[in-house]
Amino acid sequence: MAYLNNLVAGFQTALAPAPLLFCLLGVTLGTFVGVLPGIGALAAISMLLPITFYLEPSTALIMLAGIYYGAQYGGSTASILLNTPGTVTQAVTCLDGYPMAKAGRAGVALLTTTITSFVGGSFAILLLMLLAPVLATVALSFGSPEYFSVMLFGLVIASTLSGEAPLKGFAMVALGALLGFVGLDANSATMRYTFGYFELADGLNLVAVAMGLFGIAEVLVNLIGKQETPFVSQRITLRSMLPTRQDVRQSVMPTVRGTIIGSIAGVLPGTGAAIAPFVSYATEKRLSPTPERFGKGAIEGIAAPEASNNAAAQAAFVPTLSLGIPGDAVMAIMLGALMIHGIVPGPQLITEQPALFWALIASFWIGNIILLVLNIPMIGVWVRVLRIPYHILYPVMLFCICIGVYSTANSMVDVFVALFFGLVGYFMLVLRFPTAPLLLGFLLGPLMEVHLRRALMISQGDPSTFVSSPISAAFLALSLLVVVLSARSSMMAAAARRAAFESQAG
Amino acid sequence: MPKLSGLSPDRLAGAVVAMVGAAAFVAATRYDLGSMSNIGPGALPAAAGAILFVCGAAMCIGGEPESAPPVRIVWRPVLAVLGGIAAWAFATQWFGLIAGTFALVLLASLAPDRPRWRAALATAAVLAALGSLLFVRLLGIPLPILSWL
Repeated sequence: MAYLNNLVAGFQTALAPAPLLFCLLGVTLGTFVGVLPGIGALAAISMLLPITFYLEPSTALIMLAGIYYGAQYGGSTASILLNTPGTVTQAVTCLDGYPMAKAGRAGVALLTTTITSFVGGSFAILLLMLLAPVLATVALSFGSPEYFSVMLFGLVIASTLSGEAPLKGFAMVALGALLGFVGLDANSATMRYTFGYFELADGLNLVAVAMGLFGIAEVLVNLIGKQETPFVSQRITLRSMLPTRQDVRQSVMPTVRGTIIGSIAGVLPGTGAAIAPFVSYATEKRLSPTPERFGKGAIEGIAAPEASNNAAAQAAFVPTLSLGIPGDAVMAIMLGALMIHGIVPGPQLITEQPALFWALIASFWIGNIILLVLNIPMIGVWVRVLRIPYHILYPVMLFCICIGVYSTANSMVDVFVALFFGLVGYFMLVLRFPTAPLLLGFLLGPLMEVHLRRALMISQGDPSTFVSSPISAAFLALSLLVVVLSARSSMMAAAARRAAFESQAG
Repeated sequence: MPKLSGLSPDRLAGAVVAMVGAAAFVAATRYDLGSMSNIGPGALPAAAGAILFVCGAAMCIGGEPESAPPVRIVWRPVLAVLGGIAAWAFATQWFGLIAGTFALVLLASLAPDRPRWRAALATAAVLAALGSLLFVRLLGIPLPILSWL
C-alpha cells in the first residue's frame, strides 16, 4: 500500500506545473541534441547543469534525465535521414535505417524506432520501479567491503566492454582514478598531484573534465572528420509512416529481445546504453533466417537496437539510484548533479527521499509519452533541425561549453581545465582510447579509496574482509572472471591477426 | 605492401601511457603509503600508476604495427578551437562577455579551410546578445558584459 501511495505522490509531484514544464523542456532539448549530429546527451547535460542549480533538486533531476532519454529518441532521426548517428549509441541504427530511407521508407523507419524506443523504455521503467527499491533494501546492509567490490566490478565491466581493446579501457580507468585523486586528501591533509597550484586543492571539476573529454573533443573530431552525406529529403507525412503488416510482424520479436538485452546491460553497473544496441543487432543478425537482408534496410536491424538503447538508458538508473554507482558516464554526471544539490547518492536515497525517487519515476512515464508526441506528429520539425549547418552549430556549442564550465564554480581556471581535457580527449578519440571509462574511474576511484580504507580500518588490516562477505566475494570473483575472459579473447584475436598477417606475408 | 618503419600509433600511445603511469607512481611514492590498517594518501595513486604503467608497457610491446590504422592529426581546427576557448577566457575577464564571445566565435571560425566570416559575425552577435541577457542578466552568472580591464 505504501508502495502505491508513493507512486501516487510521485505523480502528484511530477504533474505540478514546474516539474512538468521542465520535463517537457528536458525531453524536447534531449530530442534536439539527439537529432543534431555531434552533440551527445552527455555534452548537453553538462552544458545545462549550471541552469539546474536554480531549480529544486527533483525538478533539476527530472530535466537532466529527460535530456538523457530524450536524446535516445532523437538520435535515430539523424541515423536514418543523414546516415550520421546523432549520438554514439545510434551508430548501429544507420546500418539499416539509412538504406530504408534511401528506399523511400524513411517514414516507416522513423515510426518504428519511436515505437520500439517507447516499448524498450517502458519495460525498463517497470523494471526500475520493481527492482530499485528491492535492491536498495538489500544494499542498506552493504558495508565498505561490498561497496568496494561492486565498484571494482563496475570499473572492470566498463573497461572491458566499452571499447575494442580492454587494455586501453583499463589504462583509462586507472588514469581517471589518478585524475580523481588530484587535490587535498581529506584523511591525511596531503596535497596530491596539485603541482603547487592551490586552485587544484578541491580536485578537478567533474563538469570541466566531462565537457573537455566529450564536448570539446567531439567538436574537434567532427570538424576534422566532416564529410557531407547526402541528406535523404522526403516529406515525412503521417501516411508515409504507416508500416505494412509484414513490417509489424518482423519487428515484434526483435523489439522484445532488444528490450531484454538493453535492460540487462543497463542494470549492470558500468555499461549503460553504450554496448546494448551493438549486442542486439548482432543477436538479430544471427537469429534471422535471412541475415543477408541486414545492412540493406531490414526493419529488424533498427527495431532491436532502438528498443535496447532506450531500455538500457532507463535501466541505467537502477544501479545509479539504488546503489549510488553510476551505470555509465551520463549517470556519473547525474550523480555529480545530485551531490551539488546536497543529496548523497546511495541506497538510503530511495528510503530517505522517496518523494524524489518516485517523482523521477513518474516523470519518466510522462516524458516518454511526451516523446511519442514529439517524435510522431511533430517529426517534421526535427527533420528541419537536421538542416542547421555545422559551421553555425559548433561556435554555439563552444560558447555554451565555456559559459557552462565557468558557471559551475565561477572560475576561469576550470575553463582551462576543460580546454586541456579537450585536447586530451581529442588525442584519445584519434588513437581509439575509450573516454567513458576515464570518467567512471574519475568518479569511482576516490570513492573506492574511501571504502577500501574504511574496510581495512575496521578489519584492522586484514584483507580477508573482502572475501568473508559473500556479496563482496561474489563480485570480486565475477570481476576476476571478466578480466580472465577478456584477456583470453583478446589474446586469441591477436594470435589470429598475427597468423593472418604471416600467411599473407609468406 | 610497404612496411612502415618507426613506431605505430598504438605503440607510441602505449609508450606515452607507460610514461604517465611511471611518473604518477614515482610521485605517489613520495606521499605516505600508510599501512594495511590505515592506508595512506599514496597507496591507491601508486597502484593506479602501476596499472597504467603495466597497461602502457603491454600496449607498447604487444601492439601490432601492421594492424593499426593510420593516424593523421590535423592541427588547424585544434588550434582554432582551443585558441578560441582561451581567448574567450581572457577577453571575457578583461573586456567583458561581448568581447569574449566575438573572440571565441571568430577564432573558432578559422577551423575550416574556408572560413565563413559573415555567418560567424552574425552568430557572434546573436550569441553575445542572447548570452548576456540569459546567463548574466537572468541567471546572474557573475561575468562582466562590457568592461575595460
